[in-house]
Amino acid sequence: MSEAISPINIEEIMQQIRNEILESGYTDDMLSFDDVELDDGNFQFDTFNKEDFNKEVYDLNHRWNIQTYRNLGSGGMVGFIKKVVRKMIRFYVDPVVEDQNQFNADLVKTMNLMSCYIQEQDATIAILKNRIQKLEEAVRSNKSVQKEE
Amino acid sequence: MKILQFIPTIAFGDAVGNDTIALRRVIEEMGYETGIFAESVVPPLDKSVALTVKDMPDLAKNDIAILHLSTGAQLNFDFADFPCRKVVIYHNITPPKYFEDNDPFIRDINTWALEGAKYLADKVDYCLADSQYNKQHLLELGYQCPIDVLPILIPMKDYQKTPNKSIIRKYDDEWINIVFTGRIAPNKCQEDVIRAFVCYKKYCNPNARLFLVGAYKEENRYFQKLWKYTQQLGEKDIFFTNHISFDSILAYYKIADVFLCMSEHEGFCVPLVEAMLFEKPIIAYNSSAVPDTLGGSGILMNTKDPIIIAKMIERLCKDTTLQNQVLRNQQIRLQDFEYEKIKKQFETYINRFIQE
Repeated sequence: MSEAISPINIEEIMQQIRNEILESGYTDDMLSFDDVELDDGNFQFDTFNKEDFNKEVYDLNHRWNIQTYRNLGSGGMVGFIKKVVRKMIRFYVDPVVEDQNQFNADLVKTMNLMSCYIQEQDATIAILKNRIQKLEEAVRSNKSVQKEE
Repeated sequence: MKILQFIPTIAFGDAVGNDTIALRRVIEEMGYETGIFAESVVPPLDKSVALTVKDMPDLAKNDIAILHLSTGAQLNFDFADFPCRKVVIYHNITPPKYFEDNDPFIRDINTWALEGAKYLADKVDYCLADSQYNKQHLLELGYQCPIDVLPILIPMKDYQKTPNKSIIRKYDDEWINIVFTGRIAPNKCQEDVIRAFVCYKKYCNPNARLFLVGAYKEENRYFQKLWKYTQQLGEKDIFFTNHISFDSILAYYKIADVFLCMSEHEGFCVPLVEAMLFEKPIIAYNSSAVPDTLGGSGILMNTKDPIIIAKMIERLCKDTTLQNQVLRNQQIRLQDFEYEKIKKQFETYINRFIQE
């Protein structure tokens, strides 16, 4: 690096800013972000959005593989009991999770195929639109020739 | 000899995926047989970019497998058993605590990612970390192999494309445009950017806009909360762009007067380099890898007090001497991230590893 960074005295600027705020009496009386309460969202859509679709497919690809194993921490006797319980129920939970993962994998494959299908259809529609436009232009020019005649 | 890269999920526009694709080109140019293998290849990417892990060729003892570690996946555990020399490129893992109240799935997957990272600590031969902060985290996780710092490889030429003209026409005016880019995520603390912006409008300049450029999902609770927050604050000049085309991202950088980052957790933060590239002065909160990436440039804040941040924005916009000094420092820092420089660094590290 030929040139070196020349440090800026941020603390000095900060002090000036603090003094200015003090003199002006500015206050932070804004609503706190923590005080915002949410209603439950819904999953209804009125229109198809390709970007949203791709994002959902991305998430599905990322999330389909559920793991049975969860880290329980290392909390003494309670932690030990939890680990024993985890081991005891494994024979029952693992097959259920495996079934769910198989379903999830099939679903993700389907959605990926659907994504390919949409892309192919988009390409086909673009070609057809182009052809229609050319045909319309040809019809229009043909009509104007006929009128002139 | 083969040098293969592995990544849990590869998707278009993702920083880790972009790094993987950029490195593949470098490995090809180095003359090695290479390829990218992922658990999931997300459309529109296809097998021309990456194959699935199950399609990977047999590995020989002297082959090199590179794992991009940033998220939870079975691959992180399976990687330990690969019968070759193993390298981890560590992009950091967002602490699960940020997702505690809004996304239990991401919380769990990041917890799993940390387990995977710990599991690999004594099973890999070499690590590359995007930043000094990431290197430190690897050491805390118990890694004892050699670790070098290699910033993310950014193909700078891509940014020379023409920015979206309609965005520039619409917003490139006398108003002050404050921009932050990055997906809407709780660790990025977009609420603090909003708070500073509201104070800036109230106490410094009512003619200002805020653009939060980044992808979100409508049903994500953190996004819903941010949206409701802006509604309740009655602020109309805050724009959430959602996922947009690359030329639109370029346009938002182009119209920016200040790049404001209040993020609390970044493994590298590519947008800081992008802001440097577009010659936009940066104000950023001092956290995680942000000071490493800024490297003494930009304005690093140790507070999130929205009034102080607002006044700093005002100072930076009005004081041209300060602004020029900040921009000069950023241009100097930007040289450290030049494509050829990082590429050469990667080649040096890999060649040294091969010869060991």
